[in-house]
Amino acid sequence: MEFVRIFEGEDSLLTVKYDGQDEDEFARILNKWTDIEYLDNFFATNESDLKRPHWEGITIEQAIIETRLEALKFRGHLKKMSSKTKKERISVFTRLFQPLSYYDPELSYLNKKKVYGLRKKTWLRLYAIKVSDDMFIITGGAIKLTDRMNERPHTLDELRKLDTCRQCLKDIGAIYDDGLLELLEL
Amino acid sequence: MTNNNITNKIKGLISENPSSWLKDAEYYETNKDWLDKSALIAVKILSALRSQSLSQKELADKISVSPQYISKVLKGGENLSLATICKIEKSLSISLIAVPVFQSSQVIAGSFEWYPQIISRSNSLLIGSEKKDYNPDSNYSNKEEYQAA
Repeated sequence: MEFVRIFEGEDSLLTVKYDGQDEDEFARILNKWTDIEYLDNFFATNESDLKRPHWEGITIEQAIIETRLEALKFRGHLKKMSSKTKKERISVFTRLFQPLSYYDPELSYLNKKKVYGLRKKTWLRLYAIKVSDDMFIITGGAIKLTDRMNERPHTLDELRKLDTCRQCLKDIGAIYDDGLLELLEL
Repeated sequence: MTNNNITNKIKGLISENPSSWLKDAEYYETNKDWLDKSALIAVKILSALRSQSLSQKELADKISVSPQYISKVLKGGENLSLATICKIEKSLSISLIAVPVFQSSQVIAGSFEWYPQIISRSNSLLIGSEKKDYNPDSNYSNKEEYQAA
């Protein structure tokens, strides 16, 4: 696994490239969210979750179109940020990311309000580790249609990736205590 | 261990190549018009395949292309030719694109738009209100600069 800069020449906002993958995780996730074939397969596979009342009867076709638009909007927003200063970018990331709450039954994912995008509720999630006040590492992302991350294999995978990254930080001697890290979601 | 020590250890292990997301974003912005249409076409084809219980391979066989090409089309990033679009439309009995039929009312509405706020009397006076302004040798740009100053 290696660390990859999200913005060229800046060490504060990082993502990871897992062994055996061609793309870094941040670019890979954004490409998946705009890949119609992938989205069609995903929503067809998870159609029962999509039919939950929370998602207000959205069809597979609408879900694909809205996911793509939301991902493009987010990427466009991020592109604009590339011309900002490091301080401004850190400030935006700090505001966008929230503590990961999968273990807290009082904090339902499905109640999460959108930060950007077209709908009042968004199912797009990026997961990150906050190493310090000015260093974030994005470990992955998912389309989250259920309340808990451990309810579905693809969100469970994201928990594993967070753990893999955390373990890697320990292995390289960057941290010795999990308590130093904050797990985040966007 | 201080925060600085932590971040310094990580900084030493950062790849020289930055994330490729920005290149992807730039490619999209350059090709947005046709990529958006290509994506909507892909959604419609996939929807038809599902409702007709057809596989991508079956569609590929029907229109005599490789399954790999169909997969590229269905990702929504392929610049499709009209010939391919027509073949897919025919094989799935669906419409993917439509060209508006010419009607006289559409031509008038679409071709002549009047912007009274731009072509106003005051603006026309600024550009050329005096007889000498219409002399072929006169320089309108200088006139405008003069007015702006």
